[in-house]
Amino acid sequence: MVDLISTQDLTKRFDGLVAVNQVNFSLQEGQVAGIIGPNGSGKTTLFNLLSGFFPPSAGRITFCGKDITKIPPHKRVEMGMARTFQLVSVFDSLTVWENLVLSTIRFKRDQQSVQSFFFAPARKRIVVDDCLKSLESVGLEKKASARTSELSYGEKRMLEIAIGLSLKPRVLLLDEPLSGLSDHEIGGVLDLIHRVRENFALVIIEHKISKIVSVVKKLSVMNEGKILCEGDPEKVLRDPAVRECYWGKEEENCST
Amino acid sequence: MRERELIGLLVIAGGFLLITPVLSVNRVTDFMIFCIFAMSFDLLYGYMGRLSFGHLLFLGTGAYCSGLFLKYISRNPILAIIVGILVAGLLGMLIGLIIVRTTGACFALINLAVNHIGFFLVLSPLRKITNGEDGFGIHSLPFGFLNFSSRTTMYWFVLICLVLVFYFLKRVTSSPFGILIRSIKEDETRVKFLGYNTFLYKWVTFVLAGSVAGLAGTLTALNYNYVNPNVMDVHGNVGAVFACLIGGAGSLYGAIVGGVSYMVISNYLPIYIQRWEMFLGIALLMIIFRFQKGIWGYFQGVWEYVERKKTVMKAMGVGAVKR
Amino acid sequence: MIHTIVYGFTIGAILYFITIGLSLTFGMMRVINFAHTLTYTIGVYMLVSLGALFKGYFVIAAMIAVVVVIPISYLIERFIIRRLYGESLDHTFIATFAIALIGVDTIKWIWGVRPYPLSDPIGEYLMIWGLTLPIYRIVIVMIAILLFIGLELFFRKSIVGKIVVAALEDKDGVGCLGIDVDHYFSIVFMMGSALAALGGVLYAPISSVHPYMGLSILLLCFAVVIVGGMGNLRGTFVSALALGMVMAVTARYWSQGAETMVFIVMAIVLIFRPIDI
Repeated sequence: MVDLISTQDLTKRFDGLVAVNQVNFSLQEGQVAGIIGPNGSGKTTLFNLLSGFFPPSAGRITFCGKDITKIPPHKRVEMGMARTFQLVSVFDSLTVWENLVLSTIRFKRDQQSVQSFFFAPARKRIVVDDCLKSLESVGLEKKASARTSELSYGEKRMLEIAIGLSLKPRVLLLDEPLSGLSDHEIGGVLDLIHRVRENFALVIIEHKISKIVSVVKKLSVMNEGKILCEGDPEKVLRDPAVRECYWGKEEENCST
Repeated sequence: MRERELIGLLVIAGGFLLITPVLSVNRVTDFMIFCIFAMSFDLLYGYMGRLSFGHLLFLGTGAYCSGLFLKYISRNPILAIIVGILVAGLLGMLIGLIIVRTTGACFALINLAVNHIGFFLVLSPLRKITNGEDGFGIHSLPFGFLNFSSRTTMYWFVLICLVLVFYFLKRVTSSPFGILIRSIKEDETRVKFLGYNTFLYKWVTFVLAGSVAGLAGTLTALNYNYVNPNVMDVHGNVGAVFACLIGGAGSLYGAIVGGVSYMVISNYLPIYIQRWEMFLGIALLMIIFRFQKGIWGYFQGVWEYVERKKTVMKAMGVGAVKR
Repeated sequence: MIHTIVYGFTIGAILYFITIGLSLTFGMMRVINFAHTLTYTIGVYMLVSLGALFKGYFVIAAMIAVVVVIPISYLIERFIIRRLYGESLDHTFIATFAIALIGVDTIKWIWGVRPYPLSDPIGEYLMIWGLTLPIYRIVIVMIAILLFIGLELFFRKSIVGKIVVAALEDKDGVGCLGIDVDHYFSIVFMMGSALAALGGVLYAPISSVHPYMGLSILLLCFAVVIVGGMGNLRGTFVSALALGMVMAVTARYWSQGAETMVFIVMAIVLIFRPIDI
């Protein structure tokens, strides 16, 4: 089976600091993968490289069989790679449903005419209905006309995921989707992930390991820019090297 | 939505018609032309969030190109208008490719520089055809029933242009493209990650704004039957900035309100207060520090507040009608 | 040819004096100060008035003019610029433009619109290698070099200087050390304004004096800052001299194109090295 995403010796240096160090990461169609690791291990940098936020210092990235190393981010989105950000980024100056317009009516993808993109009101029934459907899938349809700045952080996170989903991606990269959320909100997001994971591949960066272990099929642990260990979540979490990088070496003589 | 737009158009047209007997046909024509320019500036500044200190370049280009067309090529005013708009748009396309890559102060200053270069060009090197500082007069032949030498014809023509431009820009800013440029204003990177080539859309907006400003330029030339380098003077940009601030950036209604306000101030205040520029400066400061949303924005805020109160009261069952 | 070079250096030196303040203000506080050259203009007009009083004592009049500018710049900084820290760029742009507008109008009110002619205070020439060079211009260049050396020492050796350099790189970091960056910024602002006034005072005798002179030279200063790099003192020195030379050389072959050439250079630099603000 051809990898959906694969990287070859992907490296990113920032003035002497090697944030991502010759990483070989791969993802299959429809696979749900998780990436964990201590702070500063390079997880978000890896996402930034995959999505095209900045170019790598070395190495290649392949997506759907094509070399996308030099392709700008908006083209990668068109090819089917969507992402969310660590700090939730939605458009506060727009209303909730307006946030979904751009992702819902992909200009070229849905064969939209120039006229309807530039000239027809965004408030058209078809567009609004699609946006409302996306909002329904995350439970925000009642707040469709509210100003985004008024939503709670958890609601904004759901909105951001809804935007990602409405891009109809082949892979969705979620960067710490559960950070900053209350337990109740975490339940909501996990629920959503469970519901949609059949439709496309998913890569989740998280710190709340216990929460995502049940969701992901493959877990990768990153430390200091390298992938330390990957595979079945249960096995990975029991690996001594993984435990060491989180909690340090076990003392030889513990007796007091 | 359609009705609201039409009502808005009627209100605007009606507003101008109302103030005309009070001021004068000439003055109001000036006002309207400036409002067209202010709207084009607001597209760039209010909607897309890019402040340009050289937008007058396009107005000047439109004025000079249509003027030169009338002087040397043909006396047809409608063709001259079309030529003016096209050349302004073309200029926007060319320099936009470079300028639109920049942002913030860089954008403001490079526009300033290009505007200054344009001003210099019509003043000096092209003096043979533009007659430099003195400018040149233009004469146009009547086009059908449109005789632009008549003040009244000019007035009505400009009013119709204003209404058409307003309608056009209203449609554009309410479209998905409008949402796109507002999103670019807030967070351009995020928009890239929604799959949009932001450079392309910024460029389109720049060209659009330039073309509308070019139209304002052609109307200026026809209105005064005269073109001189003042239409390209960098200092004139402050008027557009002031108009958008007073009216409230990011709203076409605001641009019109602001445009009229600025015109009233700059035309009538000097009569009463000799140091009106000082007054303008103080007013600008007050707006920046106090009324950041401008007059229109202030009223919009009040309106929203009232609406919000009504919703809350309805939810609480206050004032609900029993059936 | 030598004349052109000397003239180029002279203009460059003047641009350097005026632009230091602008560059520091921008580099340290991210405020684009459109009103920067207001102190330049005020300094010149002060000189004009004082020059009438101190007939023949150019140096004294010049020094007083520069000193008078300092409290004015303090007021501007205290009441307006300080409020603009952290504000969006267009607001600072517009607010400082408003100050410039008010300032220009005040000057017109007090001194009228007519340009004042001033003449070369030294008025003597140096005869070197068969050429006649005005001493005054050479003096200006000398002062600029001394100033550059002085500023280099100041920023490298003195505590205030080091704080400023650090703040230029990382304002928050310096703040976290318990240093009141705003306070030092005021000092820098006043220094920059005084230097701008100095530049004005030195330039006035060889150029025209009118209320809008600040605005026209401001555009050139922006070009210098952009070419030399924001907050980059050495860069400012080099780019000021370079652009001064551009102006002089252009003026020789194409008398009106001098300023435009500077803008073309600025535009080219911006294309290849866009600033991230």
